[in-house]
Amino acid sequence: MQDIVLKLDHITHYFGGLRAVHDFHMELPKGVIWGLIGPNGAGKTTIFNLITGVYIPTEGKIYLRQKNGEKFYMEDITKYKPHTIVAKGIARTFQNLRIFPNLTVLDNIRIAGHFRVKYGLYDSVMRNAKFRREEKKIKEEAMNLLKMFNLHSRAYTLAKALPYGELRRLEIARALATHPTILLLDEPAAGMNPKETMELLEMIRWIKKEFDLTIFLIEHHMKFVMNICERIKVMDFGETIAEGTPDEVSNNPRVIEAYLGRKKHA
Amino acid sequence: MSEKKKKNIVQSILKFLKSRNGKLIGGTFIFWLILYPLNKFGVMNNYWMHVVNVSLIYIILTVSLNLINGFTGQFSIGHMGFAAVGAYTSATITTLLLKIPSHGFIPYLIFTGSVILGGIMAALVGFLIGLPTLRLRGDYLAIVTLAFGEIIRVTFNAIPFVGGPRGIPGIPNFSNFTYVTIVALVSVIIMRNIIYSSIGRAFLSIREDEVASELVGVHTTYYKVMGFTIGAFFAGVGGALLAHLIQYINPLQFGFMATIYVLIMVYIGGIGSISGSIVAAVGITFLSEGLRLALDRIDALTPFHVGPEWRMVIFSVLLVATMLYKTSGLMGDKEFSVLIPEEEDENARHSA
Repeated sequence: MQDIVLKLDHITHYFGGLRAVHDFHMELPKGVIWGLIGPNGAGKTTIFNLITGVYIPTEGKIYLRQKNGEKFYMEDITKYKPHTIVAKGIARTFQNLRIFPNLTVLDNIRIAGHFRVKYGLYDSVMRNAKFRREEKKIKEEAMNLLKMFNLHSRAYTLAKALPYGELRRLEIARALATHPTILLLDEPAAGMNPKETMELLEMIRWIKKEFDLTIFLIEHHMKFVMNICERIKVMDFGETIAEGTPDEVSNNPRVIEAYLGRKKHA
Repeated sequence: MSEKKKKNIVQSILKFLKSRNGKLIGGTFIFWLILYPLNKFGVMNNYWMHVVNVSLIYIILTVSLNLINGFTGQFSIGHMGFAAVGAYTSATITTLLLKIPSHGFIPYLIFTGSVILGGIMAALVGFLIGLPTLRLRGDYLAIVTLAFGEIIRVTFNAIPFVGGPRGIPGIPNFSNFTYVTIVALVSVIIMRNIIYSSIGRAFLSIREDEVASELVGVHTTYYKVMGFTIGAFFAGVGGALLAHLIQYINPLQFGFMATIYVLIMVYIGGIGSISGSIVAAVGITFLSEGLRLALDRIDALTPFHVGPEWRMVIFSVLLVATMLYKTSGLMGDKEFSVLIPEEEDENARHSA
């Protein structure tokens, strides 16, 4: 039996009178890549927003595995603020890129390490040894990460000056700078050509191994999902309509119906 | 002292002067060294010295407002309200305490204490206002700070102990050129050090994208309140200095128009640039005084009646022109090299 790192316990979420998510249940084991697919408006991004604390679910609870000394336990993170959840080890990217445009690439990464910085207001005003040590550490860490993503030559350019492909990489690098155990990718292949998509595929496999991650991703690109995900959940109108391996899902009549529409008998 | 030791001391002083901080402090010292004797020997009269002092105080006020509006990306329009808190706090202390005769540097010690206390009181008020309003996103802060500015004015109007609408007269003149220069320099260095740290980066990330900032682990509410409180602190310090320069304060001095004056400086100087705030604070203070003289001349020479109140019209036109032709202000988000710490040299945005 694999260790469960994230558990969504029968989540239901309403926006006013609209039921965006209904009875979503998932137990994410450690070290897997799982996918979440479904037509537009199915509630996929809402699931991500619920996990990261942007919304608090109307019903149901969310648990995250935490380590206490040698023991692991499931902590209820349902009502935590987003920044607390990030510090607990869940990082995400966004469907429409949300980098900090007027800051340098390096600053984009360093901000993600901010909550781990150990100096306070006094140290930064005085510029003492503690400040310099921590700043050096955080900069080195950021530069290493940029090197891994082949962005180090761009460290001092403003993020808004980067081409789209590099922005995507920067956003993933920024998410990794928070030292997550679980990475949520919201349509990572959006706007990419087939070659870039294949490169992204390799990169996701690589970061999963390199950073010892559990990955949960949303994607529209069917070939991409079928290629990378070990297990897929399919949503439509807030309901989970299918779940299983890529093969099982792609042959499921309800999934075909949701994606291609009902077959008409003429 | 041995020859070697002497050499070492000289070398370390030279090394310091070559560093950024050395250049900044040395430059300010040269500035002081030029202006102080000019005033002492009557080349520059006290009136222009007063204008220089006012402009130095406005540097503190503008940079601190820029910290809130430019760097943290919030919109506060009650800045002079915090200055009022600082001014009233310190002026009350000095006018009360200095009735007791004292000599030497003791009055200055009391004054310094009162300035710091003025800043702390302003910061406390800022914290109390920021805590509930900064939890929200959007324009709520603007509305609340606007209201706060008026509340402060009306409150001081209603307290007889601080003179009510009459204000506090006869405040001792402590804000001399030397003192104001030192406080302005120290304030700018402190705010710069905060901006070029992880805390400053947290401020900037909130300005850039609050949601993304929260989702990479920045406690946005905490840092918004922190930025706002620091800004309020320095506004209080600026207000305290202003009170001891003008030697008279009343509630009307700290009204909405006074805040607009500082806001114009921030936006013309450039949101997110300390250098821009400094340039604009000095430039606009001098422009304001120059215009006063020019408008008087026009009034006397031509049949048109133009009073100094037309200055505000000119500033508004200036602001509109800035918004139309150079949206980011004079300096944009660039800085003079001397204001950038060495370790951030590559990462920072230098002015051309």
